[in-house]
Amino acid sequence: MFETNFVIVTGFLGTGKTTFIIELAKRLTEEKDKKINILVNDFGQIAIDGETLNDFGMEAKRITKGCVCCEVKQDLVAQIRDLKKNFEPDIIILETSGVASLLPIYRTVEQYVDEIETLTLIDVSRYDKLMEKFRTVENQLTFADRILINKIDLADDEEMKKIEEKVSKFLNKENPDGQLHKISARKKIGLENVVSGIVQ
Amino acid sequence: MNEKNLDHSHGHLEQDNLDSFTLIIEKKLDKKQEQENIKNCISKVIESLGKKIIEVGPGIIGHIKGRIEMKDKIRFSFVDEKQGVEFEGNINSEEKIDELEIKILAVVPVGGKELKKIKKKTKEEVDKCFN
Ligand SMILES: Nc1nc2c(ncn2[C@@H]2O[C@H](COP(=O)(O)OP(=O)(O)O)[C@@H](O)[C@H]2O)c(=O)[nH]1
Ligand SMILES: [Mg+2]
Repeated sequence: MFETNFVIVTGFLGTGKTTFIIELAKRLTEEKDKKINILVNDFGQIAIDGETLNDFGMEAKRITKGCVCCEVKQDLVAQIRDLKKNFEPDIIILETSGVASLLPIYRTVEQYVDEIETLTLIDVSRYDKLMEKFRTVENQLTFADRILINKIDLADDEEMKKIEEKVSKFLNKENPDGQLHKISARKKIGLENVVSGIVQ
Repeated sequence: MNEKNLDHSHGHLEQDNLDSFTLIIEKKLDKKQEQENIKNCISKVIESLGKKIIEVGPGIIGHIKGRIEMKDKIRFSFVDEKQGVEFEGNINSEEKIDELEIKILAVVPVGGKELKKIKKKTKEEVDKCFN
């Protein structure tokens, strides 16, 4: 029997999920020899992220018309079953909409996949504002296996230190097992450990 | 579908006081225009859209993203003022085209009438790029 792991890439709107997935999928395929499928849960009638992934030669299945954590749960299950049957992927990557709650997703998919890993992206320059205004951001940090501080190319050393302190403080309290990484998805910095962590 | 489900059909946006709109604008131009000019004009439209959202909402943009499909395809993204409107993908700047499609998806902390007004204004601004 082959095994399929499920990697959830979450993080608020615009934190760099799609940019990160392009690089992650490439490395898992080319360097780690893994068979990958990508699912994208986006808003609205237009699938901007799906088309972006296509630009990079990656095929992404779209789940639209709602959020995978509630009204289109069954679509998510159907897609996973379909992919497993037809492609036998080692890893299915899900890009969430950015405001999805994680627990309902776990409950929905756990019986169809062998392991679930959650990666939560946060954005260096918007961390404070987003934490203050949006409850979902807390949820995403609390349930993450890995927390990726993204866009480190935009911050100087001092800013970096401050944000690391804040995130660590939150994690110590709410998610002590969560592993912290500093990356730039666009500049391709700090990704090796994340990729290796996923395949081990 | 009951009413609760309908409420949910924006994918949880409402619990974070977010709302969204989509614009898909297809154009056939009478006179050819350079791809670079179009890109610059759309960039300004997106920038003023983002600024408007900051002005009338709680001070953040959310995410405005989209694509311009000309002879070359590019995508753009606007998440905060400091980063500005960012484009990805290459275009041949001087190439002139007379057919294009612009897609915009805005997920923002502004809703209701205010957002409808902003959407209408954005569409008008895009149209102005092609006079
Ligand atoms: N400076 C910088 N920008 C980034 C980085 N990663 C992503 N971005 C930009 O952030 C914007 C949103 O990225 P996207 O991947 O669409 O975010 P998503 O909404 O979470 O999928 C785009 O303009 C990206 O180019 C990074 O590491 N550094
Ligand atoms: Mg995305």
